[in-house]
Amino acid sequence: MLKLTAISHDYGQGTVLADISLDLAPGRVLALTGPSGCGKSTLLHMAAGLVTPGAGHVSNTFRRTACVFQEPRLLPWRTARENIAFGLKALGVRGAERRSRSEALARRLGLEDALAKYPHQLSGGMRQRVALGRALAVEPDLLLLDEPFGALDAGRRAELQEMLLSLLRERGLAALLVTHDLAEAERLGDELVVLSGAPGRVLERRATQKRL
Amino acid sequence: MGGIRHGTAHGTGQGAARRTWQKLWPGAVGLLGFFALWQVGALTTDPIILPSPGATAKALVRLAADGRVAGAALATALHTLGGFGLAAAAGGLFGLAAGLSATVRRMLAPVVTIVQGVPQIAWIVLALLWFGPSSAATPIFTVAVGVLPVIFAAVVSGISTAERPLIEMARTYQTPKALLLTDIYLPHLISYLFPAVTAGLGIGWKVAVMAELMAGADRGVGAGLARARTNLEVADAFAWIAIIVVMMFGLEYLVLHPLRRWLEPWRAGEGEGGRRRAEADRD
Repeated sequence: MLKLTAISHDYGQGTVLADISLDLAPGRVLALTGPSGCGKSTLLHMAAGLVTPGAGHVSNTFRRTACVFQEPRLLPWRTARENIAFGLKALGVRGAERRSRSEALARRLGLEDALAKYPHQLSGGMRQRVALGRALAVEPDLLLLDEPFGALDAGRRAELQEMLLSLLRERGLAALLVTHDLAEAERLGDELVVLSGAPGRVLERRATQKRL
Repeated sequence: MGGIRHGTAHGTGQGAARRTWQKLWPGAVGLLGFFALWQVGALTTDPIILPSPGATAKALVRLAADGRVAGAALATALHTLGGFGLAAAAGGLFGLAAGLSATVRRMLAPVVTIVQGVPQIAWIVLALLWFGPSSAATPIFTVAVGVLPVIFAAVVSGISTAERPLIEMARTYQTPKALLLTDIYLPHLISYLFPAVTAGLGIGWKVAVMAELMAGADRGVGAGLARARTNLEVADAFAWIAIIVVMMFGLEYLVLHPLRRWLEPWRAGEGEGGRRRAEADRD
């Protein structure tokens, strides 16, 4: 369970988030949307433990959480295979196992021909797949997705949404998806939370069309 | 999806050769143009003022046959590399401290500014007074002082600019400190250091020759240049200049570039990344 309780936050230039409470149960996908500057990414960074809220409380009882950011954030000096395996390396998984696990995942993501390439040799869509692979490699039960397809064109975007949807289903993952694209929120989320402009407040919370 | 397979020209030997040729021909034309201009200039002026490329080559062969080139080149290389080594050690150490601590950085900033503000020629005079004209310490010290700020600046910015988004990403995986160092900080630092090493060595050669010449040293390319000046041997002077240029490029292309390819394999074909990416996006 991920629980954000009565979160308020201030970066020093006015309030970004005002009294927000959210919860996310295992296996559920919560899409978080709202105008830019409403603090939705800040909320996700709080869930990831990268930002400490000014007020309120974050509790995350998921076994393992992994993040995918808007930019792929790949290590330019490592191949796609090594990038996918980065989280496993951080966990202390041995080389041979890292290799076999990242290769299996790469096949699932359609990256088998890209394994030996460096990030600058890959297209934007491929790089974002590698980033997704890196997150899935550590076998999380919660995925935090911060506008993961925001930088891609419409075609790639639809392709990757489809792939993410089937991966979430087949692995029974919970996910918090931050997006400014309402169609994406409806398509991927079980539930939708709409935040207001700054300071961000919860305007509505409802089930998406995906479940209806 | 087909986006994985890139254009065919990249894979085949023929395509690779064509690409190499496309990359090399402008440089070859520039070089030929340079020599042509030199030759034309030599034909239209007195050889006392501008010896031809051929006369320079002849002087070079004569100096080499006399056994003066090898010793001088070795001496200048030792002066350059010795000074560079000192600068790298001190610049690396101070740079590391300044990169890690903002207080140390602020403390060293005015000192670096002062060292940088002193003209090279003034350092040569000081080195002459301190070490004497015949000591190898004179050019070595001058090179070290000249190169130090370059290395220092590169290490400081390499450490203090370590990419935040990557570090943030690593934090979400609870990455241990040792892995942060080997997989993020060091590769990042190396990418900052290489241009500084190249620039530092470039400065080093020039300063070494200048120090040898000004000090009236008895060894080194600068000493050879000084002798050519005294004897009004213009072709010899050109030959010595050619020697130092060849040494510089030799070091850069035979040592530094292969070293970089070995340390940073991921940079191979980086410049073509945009085009290949465009190809991949199209199909």
